[in-house]
Amino acid sequence: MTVTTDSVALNNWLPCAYPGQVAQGEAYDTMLLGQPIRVTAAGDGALACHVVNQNGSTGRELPLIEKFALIFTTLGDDPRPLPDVPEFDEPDRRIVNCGSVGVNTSPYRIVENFLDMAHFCFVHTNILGAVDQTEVLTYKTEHRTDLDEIWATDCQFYQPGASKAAMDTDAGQMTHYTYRVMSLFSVMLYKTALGYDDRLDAICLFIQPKTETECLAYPPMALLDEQSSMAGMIDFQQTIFLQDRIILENQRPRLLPLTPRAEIPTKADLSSVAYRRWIKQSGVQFGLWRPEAA
Amino acid sequence: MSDPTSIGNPWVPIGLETQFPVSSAHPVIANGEPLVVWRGEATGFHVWEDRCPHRGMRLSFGFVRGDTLTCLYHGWRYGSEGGCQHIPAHPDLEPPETICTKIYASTTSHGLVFTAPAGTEAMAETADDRSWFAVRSIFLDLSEKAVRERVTSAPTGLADAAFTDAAGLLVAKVADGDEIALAIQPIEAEKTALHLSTTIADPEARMNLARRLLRLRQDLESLGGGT
Repeated sequence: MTVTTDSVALNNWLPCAYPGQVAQGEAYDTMLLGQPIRVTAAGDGALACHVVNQNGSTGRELPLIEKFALIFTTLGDDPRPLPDVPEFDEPDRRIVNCGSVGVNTSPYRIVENFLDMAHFCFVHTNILGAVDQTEVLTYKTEHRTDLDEIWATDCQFYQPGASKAAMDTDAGQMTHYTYRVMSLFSVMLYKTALGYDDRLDAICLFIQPKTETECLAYPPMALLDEQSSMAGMIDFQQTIFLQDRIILENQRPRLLPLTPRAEIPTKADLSSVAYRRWIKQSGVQFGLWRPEAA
Repeated sequence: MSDPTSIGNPWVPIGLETQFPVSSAHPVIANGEPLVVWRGEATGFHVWEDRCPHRGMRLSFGFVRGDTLTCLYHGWRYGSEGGCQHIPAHPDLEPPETICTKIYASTTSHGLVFTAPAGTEAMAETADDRSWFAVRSIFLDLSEKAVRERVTSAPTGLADAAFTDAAGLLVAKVADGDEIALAIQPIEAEKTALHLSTTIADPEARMNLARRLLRLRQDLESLGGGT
């Protein structure tokens, strides 16, 4: 595809790489919203990002921000600011960089799956859910107008192994969740951290939409876990994400349909319904199903 | 209404019966439509749109228990008539009747499975109580039209007698009163399947037929475009 003309989609800071991905003196070619881009690391490690023209030459330079163990850029003139997630600055947190996972579907399907508790028992069986405890209890959603974010609160779900640390104990727990949709292309959750009563693990998901149906998903985490190895925590998250990918790449259509009755939600989908309404209100067209694209 | 000049229309063959074991779900494509074919313990074959009405997950990834099909994503369970019976996220809720998959008609004949839009008039019955056996299927990068023209206009090497249109498929007589049936499945514009079945009970003779079908594939692929 060619670069989108959708200004709502363009005006976002989107991940394009993670620190350490591009070796010094090397370049990494990728794509953002249909636009080929090149991330380069100079001999001193300084990063730069440029648009790549059709003839392969580099065009205009794009701005970069390093945050949440990721590298963000934007094609827009007036991008929505990156969210605040103060947990990433707390000195005793383990910041886990899980790299990225390629997922061939619409970015919104990936966000929606991240918000969804009802699939835990079936897709993450015996880890994030158990087949004999499938009920999604009533929770709340709200549009936080101060942040212009969608929040889901009072969420809870029984989990046999909520995290790497929890897996190692063999005991299930009622996990409490709070979800934040921080932009059209990013979402995070706070969840019960094993051994902490008053603090929560923070797990983000930032999506790089390469095209309308080809994404890279980056799940950086700020965890309260002094025990697990870094490799163990990364492995846990990647296991979960690869289970999700089987689902995500087999939803039809890949583009998110917002037309009435195209898909039927139930009460457990309250956060998905709020997110879809917010997508509609944003005016974005990129990545949405349209009859002529069928 | 069916068009008598167009063989197989509106009933489209989607495979050999033996290709779909009881208690399993499978993806097939007919005329560009992604379908799930699943086979219940008591209710036989079911053909639906390959899509859960909830969040669009392909139902061919789901699992069959008894005479229900359950979606892999959220465990929504559908009965043999397509209605949702159970939503695990809300175990005490009786799902509204509006939650229903898009269902197609299905039938079996000559050892083959056929589908058609819901409400289609039943396939013409043949006065045939012989057993039919699967031979095999082949898949071609050719249009249905090209395949049909080739197998109806020149010798196929499968039978000495010519094929005749019978109840939506091509049938030819072979030795000892036995018959073979060839069904043409339009998959997509340039993708077509040929399914072969027979009344011949001798496994050795059926193996021989399968080899002849592979030679026919070589012939068809030399028509061009084939890989």
